[in-house]
Amino acid sequence: MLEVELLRAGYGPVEVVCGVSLRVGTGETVALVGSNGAGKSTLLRAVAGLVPLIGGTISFEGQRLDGLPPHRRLEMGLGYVPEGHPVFPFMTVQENLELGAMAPRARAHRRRNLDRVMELFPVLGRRRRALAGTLSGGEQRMLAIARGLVGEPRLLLLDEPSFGLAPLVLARIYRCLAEVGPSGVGLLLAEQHVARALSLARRGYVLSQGRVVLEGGSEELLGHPQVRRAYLGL
Amino acid sequence: MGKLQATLVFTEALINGVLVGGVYALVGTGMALVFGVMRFINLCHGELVMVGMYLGWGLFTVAGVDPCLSALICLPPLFWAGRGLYRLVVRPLERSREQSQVLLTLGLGLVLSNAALLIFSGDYLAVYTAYSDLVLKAGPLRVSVPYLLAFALACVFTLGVWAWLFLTAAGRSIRATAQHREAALAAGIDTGRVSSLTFGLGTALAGAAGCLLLPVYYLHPGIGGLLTGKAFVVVVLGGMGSCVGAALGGLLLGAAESLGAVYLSAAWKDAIGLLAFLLVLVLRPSGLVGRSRV
Amino acid sequence: MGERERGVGAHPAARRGPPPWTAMTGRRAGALASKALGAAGLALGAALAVLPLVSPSPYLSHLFATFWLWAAMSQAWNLVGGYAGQFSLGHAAFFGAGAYAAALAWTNGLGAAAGTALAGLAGAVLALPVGWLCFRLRGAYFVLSTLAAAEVVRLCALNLRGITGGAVGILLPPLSGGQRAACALGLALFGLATLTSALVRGARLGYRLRALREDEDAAEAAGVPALKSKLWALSLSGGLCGLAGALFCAQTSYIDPGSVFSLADVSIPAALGALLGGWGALWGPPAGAGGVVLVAEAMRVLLGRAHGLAYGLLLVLTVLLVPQGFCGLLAARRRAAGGEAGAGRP
Repeated sequence: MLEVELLRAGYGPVEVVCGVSLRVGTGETVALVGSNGAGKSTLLRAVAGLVPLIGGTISFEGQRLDGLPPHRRLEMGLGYVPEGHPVFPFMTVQENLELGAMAPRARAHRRRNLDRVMELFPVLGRRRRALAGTLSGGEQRMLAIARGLVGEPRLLLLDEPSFGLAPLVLARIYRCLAEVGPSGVGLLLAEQHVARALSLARRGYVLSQGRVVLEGGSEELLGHPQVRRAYLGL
Repeated sequence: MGKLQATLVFTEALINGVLVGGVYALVGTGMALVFGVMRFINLCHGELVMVGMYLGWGLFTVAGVDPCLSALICLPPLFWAGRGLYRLVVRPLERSREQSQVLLTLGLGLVLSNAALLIFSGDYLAVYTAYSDLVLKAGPLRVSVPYLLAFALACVFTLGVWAWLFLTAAGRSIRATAQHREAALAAGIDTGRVSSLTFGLGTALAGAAGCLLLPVYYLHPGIGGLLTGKAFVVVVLGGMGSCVGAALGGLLLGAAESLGAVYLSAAWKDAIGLLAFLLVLVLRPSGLVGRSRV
Repeated sequence: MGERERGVGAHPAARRGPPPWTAMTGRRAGALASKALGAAGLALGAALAVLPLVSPSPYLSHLFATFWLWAAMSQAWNLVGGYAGQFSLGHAAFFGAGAYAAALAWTNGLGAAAGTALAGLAGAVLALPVGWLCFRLRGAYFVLSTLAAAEVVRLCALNLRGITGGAVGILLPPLSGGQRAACALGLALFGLATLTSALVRGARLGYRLRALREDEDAAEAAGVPALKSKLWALSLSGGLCGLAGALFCAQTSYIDPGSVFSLADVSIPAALGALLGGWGALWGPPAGAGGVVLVAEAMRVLLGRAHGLAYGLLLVLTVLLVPQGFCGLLAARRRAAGGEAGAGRP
C-alpha cells in the first residue's frame, strides 16, 4: 500500500533521513523503531507531506505523492498523528473529532465513525463537551489518535504514541491500537519503546542515524542480538 | 455642584472613549486574526485601514454613500484584494524570519501611503453627513451620534466575525490552525487556504473599520502609521492573537486615550497607548486577558 | 608578485601536483582576485573620500555627506542588529535625541565641540532605558517594542514644547564651511563608527554578542552576561547615532520631530544598510548604505513625487527576491563555487 524508495529528507541543509526504503502492506501494522534522533519523526513527516523531500519517492496505493500537500494525502487515505499533544486546546473534544472527519472521503460516515472511536476510547465519549486543553496527557493522545481514525484512513502514521505516558495509560492506548489493526486500517508506528512496538507489529524496521540498519519480522528483530543490546538493555 | 460636574466630565470622556474603542477593537481584531493564525507581523494594517477610509470618503464624495453603508460595501472588494495581496507577496514570506516580514509590510505600507499621497495629495479630508453634528442628550450627558453609530456597527462587525469563526466550517478551520498548526495539517485542513482566507478577512475588517473611523479621524496619507500603532497596542493589550482580547484591548485603549486627553492633555493621547503597550509587553507578555487564542 | 608567491606556497594542492598556471583556477584565483579587488576598492574608496572634499560642486559634497552619514548609521546599527542579532527599528530615537541635544546646545550658545559631545552622550544615555525595557523581549516582540520606544521619544519631543519647540522644530544658522565641511565631518564620523565596529568585533564584547546572536540560552548558560553585553552594544550604537544626529542637524540646519524621529526616513535606512550589505564583514553595512543612498537619491531626481512609492516597491521587491540580502546572496554563491572547487580536487 505504502512504498517508500530511497527517501531523503531534512531541514534546510541538514539531511536527517538519508535514503530509507520501506513498505507497508494493506491493513498491516509495521513498527519503525530506533533511538531519539534516528530520523523516525522526520520520515513520517515527509510521508505525511510536512517536510519537503530532498530525494527519493513515496507512492501510496500505486500513486506518487510527490509535492502533494498534506490535506490531499489525507483525502487519499493517508492519515497522520503528530507526536506530542496535537489537539486543538480551545475546542471541545467533539469539535476536535468533527474537524478530523471533515475530509470529503470521511464526511458521509461521520456519525458512524464518531460513534466508533467513542466506543474505542470511552473516556472521550464521557468528556465530549470538555475543552481538549483540559484533558490529561494520555487523554489528549487518545483524542489525537481518535481524530486520525475518524478521517477514515487506510493507513495511519503514528508518531510516538507512547512518549511521556505512564505505563498504565500506555498499555491502554496499545490495547486500543491492537483493536484498530484487524479493522483493516494499516498502521505505521514510529516508536522509541522498541519492545512495545514490536509486540504489536508483525514486521519492523530499525532506524539509526537516518538509515535502515535492520528489518524483518517482529520475533526475529526482538531476538536479534544487536536489538537486544542496543534497545532492550539485555 | 463641582463634584457633579467632575463626574459628568469623567463619564462623558469614558463613554466617548469606549465608543471610539469599539472601532479600535475592529481594527485590532483583523490584526489579531492575521497574527494568531499565520504568526505574521503585519505592519501595514494601518495603511489597509487607510485604504478603507479613502474608499469610504470616495464613495461619499462621488456618490453620496453614507460611510456606514460603505463599511459594508467595501468588505468584498477588500477581502479579495487581501487574498490577492496574500498570494502575491505574503505567501512567499509567511514562514520566514520576522525581519523579512517587518521589512516587507513596512515596504507595502510605504507603497500604499505614497500612492495615496500621489492620488489624493496630502490634504486633510473629512466626511460631513447630515448627522455629523447631532448629539444625543440623556439627562445631563451628551453623546455624539456619529460616534454611537460607528460603535454600534463596529460591534456588529466584531460579533459577526466571532459568529463566523465559531459557527462555520471555514471559521472552525481558521481557529484550528491558530490553535495548533501541525494538528490542523494532520486533520486535513488546507492551511494555505486558511491563511489566504485569514489575510483576506483581516484586510476586509481593516477596510470596514476605516469607513467607521471617518467620523472620528481626519483622513490623510500619513494616518496609516498611527493606526498600525494603535492596532498593535490593541493586539498586545489583549494578548497577541486573541480576538476576544483584541476587542477588550480596543475598548481599553479607547477609554485610556479619552480619559488621558481630558485629564492630562490631548497632545499626550497617542503616547498613553504606546506606554501601555511597552509596559504590557514587558510586565505581562501574555496580555491582560490571557492566552486563549482566537 | 609577493602575493602570488605566498599564495603558491600556501596552497597544498598547487604545491603537490599541477604546474602553477593550471592551478590559477578555483579558490586560489578567487582569493587573489578578492585581494586585488580589496586593494582596488580601498584605493577607490580613498579617492572617493578625498574627491568631494576638493571638488567645487556642493551637490557632490552634499551627496557624499549624506552617504557618510548613513554609512556611519548603518555601522552603528550593525553593532546591535548585526553582531548581537537584535533587529532594532528604534534607532531613530537615538539619532533624534542626538540631533535635539546638539541643536539645543548650539542655540543656547554652547560651542560646536560641546554640542557634539552632548549629542553623543544623549544617544548613549537614552539607549540604556530603551535597552533595559526592550531587551527583555525576543523576536517579533523586540522589534515592536523598539518601534514603540522610538515613537514614545518622538511624542515627547513633539509635546515638550517648552524645551523642543514642538512641531515647529528648531532652525539653526547654516554650518560654516557648507556642504564640504559636512562631508569632512561625515567622513570623520564614519571613520569613528568603523573603528568602533572593528574594535568591538575583536574585543570580548564582540565575541559575547555573536554568541548571543547564535544561541542566547546557550550563551547565557556559558556565562555570557546577556543584558549587560547588549546594553553596552546598544549604548555604543546609540552614542554613534547621537553623533550622526548632530551631524544631520548641522548639515540641514533645521530639525523637527517628524524628520529626525522618523521610522521611514531614519530607522529603516539605518537597518537597511546592514541588512542589504550583510552584518559579517566590516565593509558590509557601509556598502549597503551606499546602495540605499544612491538609489534613494536617484529616485528622488528621476521620479520626483513618486520616489516614496518607488522606494516602497523596491523594499518589497528586495525582500521578496533577495531575502538573505545581497551579502547573503554573495556568500551563498561563494559557498557554491567553493563546493565545486572542493569536489574537483583529487
